[in-house]
Amino acid sequence: MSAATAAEAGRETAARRKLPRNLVLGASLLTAWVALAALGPLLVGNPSTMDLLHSLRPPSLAFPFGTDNLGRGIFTRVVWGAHIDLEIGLFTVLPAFLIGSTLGLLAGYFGGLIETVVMRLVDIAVAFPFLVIVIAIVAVLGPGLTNMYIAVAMVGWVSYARIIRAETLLAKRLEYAEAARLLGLPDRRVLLRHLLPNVIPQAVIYASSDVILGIFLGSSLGFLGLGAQPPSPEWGLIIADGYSFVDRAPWISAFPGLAIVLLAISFSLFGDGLADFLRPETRR
Amino acid sequence: MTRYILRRLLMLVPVAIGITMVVFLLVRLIPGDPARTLLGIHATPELVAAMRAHLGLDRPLWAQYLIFVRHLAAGDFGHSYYYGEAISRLVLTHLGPTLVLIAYSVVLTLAIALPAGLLAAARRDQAADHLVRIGAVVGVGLPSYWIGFMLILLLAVTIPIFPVAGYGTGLPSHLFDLFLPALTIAINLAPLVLRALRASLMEALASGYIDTARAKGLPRRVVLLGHALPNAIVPAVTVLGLNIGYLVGSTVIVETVFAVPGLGQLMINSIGTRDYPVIQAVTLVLGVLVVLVNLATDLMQLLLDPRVRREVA
Repeated sequence: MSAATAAEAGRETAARRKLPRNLVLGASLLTAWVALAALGPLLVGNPSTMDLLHSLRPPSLAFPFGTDNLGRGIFTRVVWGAHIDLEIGLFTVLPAFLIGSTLGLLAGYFGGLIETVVMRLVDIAVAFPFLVIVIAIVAVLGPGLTNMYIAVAMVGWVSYARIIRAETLLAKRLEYAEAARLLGLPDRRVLLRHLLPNVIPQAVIYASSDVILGIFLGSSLGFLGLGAQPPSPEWGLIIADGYSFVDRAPWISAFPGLAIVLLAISFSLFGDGLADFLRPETRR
Repeated sequence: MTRYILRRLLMLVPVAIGITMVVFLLVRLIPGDPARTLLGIHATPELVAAMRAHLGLDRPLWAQYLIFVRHLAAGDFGHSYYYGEAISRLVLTHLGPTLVLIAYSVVLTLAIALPAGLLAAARRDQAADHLVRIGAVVGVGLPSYWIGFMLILLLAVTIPIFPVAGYGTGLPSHLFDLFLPALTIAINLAPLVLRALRASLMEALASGYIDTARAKGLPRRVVLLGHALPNAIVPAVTVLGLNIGYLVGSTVIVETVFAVPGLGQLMINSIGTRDYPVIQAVTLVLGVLVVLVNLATDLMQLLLDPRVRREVA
């Protein structure tokens, strides 16, 4: 490579590394959400305090999002809900990410029996509608957040296994991986030090959009009475409560729904930005 | 092509084995005696003993699985102790509303996605395109149980046109009552189809045969609808097929929201009553439904796209 092209390549890398605008915006919004989830509960009071003298009040200065039939402030509950729903996002994605990436890496690298077993399990898991199989497992284990996390982990890992296996199959044929193996490095070292850093970005990108799907799933199960249990101020649960009052107090369900929409937009900006940043070659 | 179809049908065998295995193991996840679990807490010892023999619980697990499959093949899903009815009958009566809802949602999804996709592609980078794209981003970002709530608030409570819930009797009444439920699903689904359609239309519009059609002096409408659309429709159908699992999952929520007497509602109600054989049966039927729709999508591609036909020939 001549000096000129090397310099040019260097400059291009530097230019590419400039942070995409949607990543900055998405990350800022998410930071705000995390701050709200962490600090909000300290500021707004108890989400379960009932005040029957002020039930079904429309939004006002005292109750910015109105109150429900038990006189609980919707604003207070939505702020507490941010804490719960972000936790749902984390715990639905993290186990699936860890299990799936590990199995995908092993399947792609070693092939053979482990690959066959992993991929057959993947085939079976994707045959079911995701929500239906998760509901079925929760039905058997019993409603509640912990069982929901278990159910999601049992099925959700397959997406990560598929992505990482495909990436590993490609990466292990590239020169750097061949070289590492020819040097006689142990499999463990080739896998963890050479392949993993190169294949994991795809899974991270997927995870950044999977978080919001996890939150949707968690709040859907809350809505169906299978996730978080009352009196938890989980957003899906609040929305379910508000259905009975759609004609008298629509604010009960409207505001937690808006919160989910805003959170979804924050995550999708962040995810798109992250994809642009980690895979600059696909950016126009 | 016949060989391709046969091979595609043969691929269903391992999937069918996988699905039935998962559904079989589902009830075994519950600690305790499966016979007692399936019969509920009020079962007499005699009944439990009879059930144990019926399921072959004294035999190894693989033999139990074979018995389970043999029962399924005979249409025997077991008996619901809550409804006091054969589950096969229960599933059949609840299947209709779910199928109507799915078909209706697909129709509404296309009714939104086709015109919007055409508009966005024809007016690329203009205001209409931006509007459609923003609408698409918001549409996927809305949870279905909340779309349902807002639709009820808007079109059933504030402006009382549609019913809050129900299914009605007779097809016209079904279609009227299911409009909001189907629209709820379509609002989630249309953005995905629309994005695929817009992208493939753009690609088609940049091809040589479009230049030829334009050079011939054909009107814009004919170029767009007659030349570009037929070539761009396949990816949109594929995206729709890929998301059928998502669609079926949504029906569970939407049926609960709008009290549609379909399989999803049956499943959720059965969780409350711990009617495990029903949960098992509905999970199986919805899984099979998705597999069949995926099959139909693959065959549809053959029908729509001569290039796919040539590839598999």
